[in-house]
Amino acid sequence: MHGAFAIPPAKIAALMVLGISLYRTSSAVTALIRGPYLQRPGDTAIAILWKTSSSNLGSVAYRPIPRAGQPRRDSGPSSRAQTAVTSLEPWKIAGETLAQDSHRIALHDLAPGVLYEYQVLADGEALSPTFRFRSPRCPADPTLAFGVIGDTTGGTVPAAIADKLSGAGVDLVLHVGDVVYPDGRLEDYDSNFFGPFAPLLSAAPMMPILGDHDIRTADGAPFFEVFDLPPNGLTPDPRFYSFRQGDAEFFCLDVESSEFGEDSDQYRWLDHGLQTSTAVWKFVTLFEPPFTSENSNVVERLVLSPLFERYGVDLVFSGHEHLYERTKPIRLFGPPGTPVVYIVEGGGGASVSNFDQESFSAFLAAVYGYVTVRIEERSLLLEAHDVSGAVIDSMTLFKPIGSNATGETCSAAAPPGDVRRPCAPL
Amino acid sequence: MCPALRSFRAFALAPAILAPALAFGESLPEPVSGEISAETSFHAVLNPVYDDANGRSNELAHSLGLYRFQTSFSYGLSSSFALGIVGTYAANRYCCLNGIALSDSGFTGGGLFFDWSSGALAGRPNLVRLGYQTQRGPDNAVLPVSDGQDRLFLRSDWSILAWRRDQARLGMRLDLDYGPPFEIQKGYFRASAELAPQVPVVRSQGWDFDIVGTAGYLIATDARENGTIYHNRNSKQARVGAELDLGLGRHRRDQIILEAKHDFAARNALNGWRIGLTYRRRIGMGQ
Repeated sequence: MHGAFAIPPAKIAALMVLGISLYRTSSAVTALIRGPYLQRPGDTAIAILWKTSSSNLGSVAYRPIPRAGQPRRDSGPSSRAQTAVTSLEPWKIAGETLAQDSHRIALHDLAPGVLYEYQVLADGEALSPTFRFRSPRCPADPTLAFGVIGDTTGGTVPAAIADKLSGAGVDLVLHVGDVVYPDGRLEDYDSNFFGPFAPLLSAAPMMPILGDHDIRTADGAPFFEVFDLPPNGLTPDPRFYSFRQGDAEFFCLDVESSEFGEDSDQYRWLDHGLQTSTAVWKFVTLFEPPFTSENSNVVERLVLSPLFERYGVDLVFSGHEHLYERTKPIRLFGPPGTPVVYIVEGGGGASVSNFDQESFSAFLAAVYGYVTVRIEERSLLLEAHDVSGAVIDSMTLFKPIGSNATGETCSAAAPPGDVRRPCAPL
Repeated sequence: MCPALRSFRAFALAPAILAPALAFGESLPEPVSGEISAETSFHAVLNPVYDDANGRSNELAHSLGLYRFQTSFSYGLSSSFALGIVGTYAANRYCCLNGIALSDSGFTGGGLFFDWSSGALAGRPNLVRLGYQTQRGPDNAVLPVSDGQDRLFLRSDWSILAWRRDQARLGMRLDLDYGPPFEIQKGYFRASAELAPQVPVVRSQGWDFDIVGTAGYLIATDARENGTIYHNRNSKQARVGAELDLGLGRHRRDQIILEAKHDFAARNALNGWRIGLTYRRRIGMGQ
């Protein structure tokens, strides 16, 4: 019987060739059907997620880009020869241990605030071109840039916003809800969100919150299937969460599918988080705006605004209404407490809203667009852009060192169309 | 800070107008030919919570009180028809943080109505009130008592069943409100139905006393009370309670109604205890 297992060397060679060709065939048909896209599961980690057409062992090759160095865009990590001739650091590989078609790999021990390039691989073969991201900034880093988008749907608007924002050099993007219209179905995420926003999602972590459309399918289950968000320690799904980036802390709330009243876990979590935050800048995202010239959520205004004022939240970002609006600094319950500026950015593609501008509104434009925020030391510059990238409104906040008080100046660029009543500069 | 915001607090406390009903299923007076019926009522909801569209309860961080005072006069054109006017004053108050209360109060508007009475069962006529009430534009952006949306309203109070030798009855109260769209505000629609079994406790020469149980259900196109639109999506709630109905004098010349009700199964609505006191007097009857 021993002889039955004796295989001639020629046959072994033939089987090896066959095996390799089968492997290559399998690898060749593997295609990216989503991503790669970045997430922020923690304060110091970046997660890279993607989905492939078939099961495979996924991995990510990544390395920092020297400030003066420009990597060759065609020098993928799967080509060791090419890697060897560059002056860049060698590729690091982070890989999975089980073959699958939905991939998630967290990159740890990244140098803070550094530009990295990366490429995703399937069974060791290049699956994507190389992309870049900036690693999370350390708490002492006084520099930060982020974008804000909301109510993303339809036509060419999301792709135009993605194009502009991906070239804006932002560290991360906040999505203020209604990620996928009409009902937040899993099958619509690729066509309505991951497709149009691909250039942006591969370059900067998108930190979304739930909108009313997002919870229409299984209370938002598809949202948590595709996004990898920081845990809050209270709920199985991170329906509300916070994260730190540089000298800013972000509190991302859920007012659509979670209680937020004074007796709720979310309220206590927010109260504690804001109270103990050591960040110079504090930002909140919540879907429905407490203050807007279309339909304000007065319950949020009564319950949450006192916390925002008490703990010195600088900006509150919302969506829901399909327009851009900036309020004057509002302080209902003080002093003490600091005035809060409320921003609505819901111009992500849904048909723009009507409005009747309220007296608390500093600037309003029913246009498609996005917001960028740039922080340098104790200065914050907020700019609202239309889809062409033109600045339609801007605001600067200053924080004197040693003070929690925020000084503010307001300015507005020449308003297009239906912009009314810009806030005059001081 | 932008200059206009420096006075934001003062602006938030400025008086404003209008107050949609805090209550539904209110009883109506019977038209009496040649007589005036004067009525004043007070309704309030005290310290409610807000239940979201999925029924999740959200406790407000501080105490919210909504108050409505309403006065009406109607004149009986005949035993079946009356013509009247109504005026409303409302106050909202959210208290207190740092010793500061958000509040608003003021006359919210007035209106005309037409009452119609048809037949009777168990000593109570079937009544319908059709009216129109204007609402002053809101000038308070925080807790306005006026939403600025004029309304057509229909109130009805029917006896649909009588028993115990025609003394007790089962009443059905239907309310409809419609506010046509204006500016960016979509049309507002509110409908409620309430069953009101009424049981006599005392019937005597000079006075009578009834206990009325109530169980009703309300739907509306958004969550609004006393002028403030808390949320602009569909709203609904059940309400159960009791009324003590005291009639004094011949033909109930004076009438006092004390009511206490509680909300249940609220969806995108305030949920709490509601109290009301109504005093009604007929002028000219039997004099």
